[in-house]
Amino acid sequence: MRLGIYMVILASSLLTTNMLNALDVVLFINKDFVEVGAEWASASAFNLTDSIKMKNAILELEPNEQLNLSIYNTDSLDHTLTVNGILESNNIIPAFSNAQFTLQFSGSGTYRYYSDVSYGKLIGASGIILVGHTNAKCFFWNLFEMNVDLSNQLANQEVTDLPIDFQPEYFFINGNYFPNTIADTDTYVEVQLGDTVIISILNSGNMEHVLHFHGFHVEVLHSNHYQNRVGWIKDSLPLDVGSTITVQLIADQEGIYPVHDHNLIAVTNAGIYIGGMLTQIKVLP
Amino acid sequence: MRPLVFFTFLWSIPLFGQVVDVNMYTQMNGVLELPDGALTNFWGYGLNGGPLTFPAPLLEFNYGDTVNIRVLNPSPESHTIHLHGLDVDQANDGVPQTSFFIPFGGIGSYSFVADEPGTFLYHCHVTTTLHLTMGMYGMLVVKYPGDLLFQNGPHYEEEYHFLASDLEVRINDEPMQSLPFHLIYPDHFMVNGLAGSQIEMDTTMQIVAEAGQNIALRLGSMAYSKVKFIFPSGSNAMVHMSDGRPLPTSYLVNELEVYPGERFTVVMSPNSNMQGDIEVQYFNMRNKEFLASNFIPVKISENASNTNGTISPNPATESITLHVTEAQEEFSWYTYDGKLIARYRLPKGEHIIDLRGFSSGYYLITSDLGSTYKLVIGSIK
Repeated sequence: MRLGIYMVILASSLLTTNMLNALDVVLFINKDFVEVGAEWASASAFNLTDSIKMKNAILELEPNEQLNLSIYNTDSLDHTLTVNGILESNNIIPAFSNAQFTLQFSGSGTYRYYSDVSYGKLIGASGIILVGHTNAKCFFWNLFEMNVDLSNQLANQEVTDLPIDFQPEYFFINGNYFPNTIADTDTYVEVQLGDTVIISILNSGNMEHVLHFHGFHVEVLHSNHYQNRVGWIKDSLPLDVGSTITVQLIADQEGIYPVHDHNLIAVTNAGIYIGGMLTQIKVLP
Repeated sequence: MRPLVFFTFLWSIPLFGQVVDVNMYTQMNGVLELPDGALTNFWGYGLNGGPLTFPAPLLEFNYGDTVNIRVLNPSPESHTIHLHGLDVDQANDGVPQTSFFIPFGGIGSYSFVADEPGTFLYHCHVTTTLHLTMGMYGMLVVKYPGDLLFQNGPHYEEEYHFLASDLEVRINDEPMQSLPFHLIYPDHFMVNGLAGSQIEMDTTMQIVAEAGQNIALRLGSMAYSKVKFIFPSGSNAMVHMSDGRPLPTSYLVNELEVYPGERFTVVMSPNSNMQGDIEVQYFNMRNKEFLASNFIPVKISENASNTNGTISPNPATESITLHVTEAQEEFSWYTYDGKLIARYRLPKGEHIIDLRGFSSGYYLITSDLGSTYKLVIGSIK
């Protein structure tokens, strides 16, 4: 019954912009098991349906738009909707219930929304809101890493924080690890020669990463962690925990080029090379 | 072992925009000495006719050069060279899945035009997680004419290259027991392949300059840790470039984080005498835990250069004699406004340089052994 109600709301309002410059979105915060490698791991995510996927919903709007979010919590525990600097209080989404939020963003850039509880953000409930590039071709890389046993313990509240010896085994972009990253159209950058595209990047994970581009430098348009780096032209982008960065890529040469974490433990799946945080840019003639 | 083996293709007059051929090889039988005297294994690159080095040889090219790197692989595994940050085309990218690999006994060639001055890296991209921790990486520099960092960029009188890296000794000892790779925990931390007391004892690792000089530092990391360079008080360290591109606005720093694969070019401009260190800190990227430090000595004095009279006469008119006391020495010859006009690599002995054709005036001659000579040429006939 609950799913049916959700789907009616979803069909009427999902990712549509109305005449009042408002974006109405229905989301579900889910916590359940997902298949990771040959294991089942607990994960939490903001999804467009009440069926869990590790890939969190991606939201895009313009700075003058109002974001109206209706979020249904399918978990037996309370969650939050948190956007640092914008929504940090009165943001509870009660267990098996829903809550509405109205958000406004002052400027362009990549923002993080997440559930600020240990069984939320630490096991993946963290997504991208990209403000200001709705007319551009955009791609999205939401980074996350996981230790399966730890995720299960966090989901069950057997532990409520990361241990000092955090040892992630899997490394994801948008909930996928290489080679599965290639199948996701938000992750795999396929463009035409001469295209200028936007890549919106969030480190939702619990450790630092650094993405290295083969074949291209990109221009930093926005960064919440390195605010003095706007305008820098880089091929290696550091991403501290929770940090966001928006870059512009000009596809000025044909071919297929990897982009990967240059912390090289993260281009593995359960310790086996090659995998993890690796995607590609394909520039068609 | 000398860190970051200097490799220049310019044996006399420096020319920019030339075709430069480099011949290299790979090997997997290197032996690395640790500060406590213990030995471990490394894999790496060498220049033909030269030793296998850790890290791989510093490759220097001039802005505009067309570079052809030919690599022979007599080692038992496949290898590549990824030209990190040079934005080469797919065929030259050095990724086995999208480019090509050099099998055992094979030869591979990589070509590119050095169309951006700056600091870059190169490394193997076969089973990268293992081949890098085993040591298959080096720094690559594209130099802009006149000892400028880039067009209309700052001029420098001294230049140093510092490539930070790390390894886990257990893995280098037994690379066949290296799985699973996500559990690599570095426990040996290096700058230019040296650690701890090895840095203090190696004179090429010491920054020696005069107050008032600009000292270019080309910094990079191939570590599995996050690296932080902490500059000594009074060094006036200014960041001008990152990842081979000028910054929109240069800025002063006391400390600078360098993540794996990043590069920065910093110019220190100390105004007065000083003695200290650049501290290089290493942090676990999983949890930000501090792991270790290295220290690069910095000595700034009023007259740090070695003017011991190995150029004579000075002032000169028709010729000078260069007295080379080491096996060989390379001299770089600059005009007063910093334009590089000649280079000579000379063997041990006395060498007469004909000055006819040089304009009268003031010149600066630097030696790769650390000497600086201020030469006055007058009354040229």
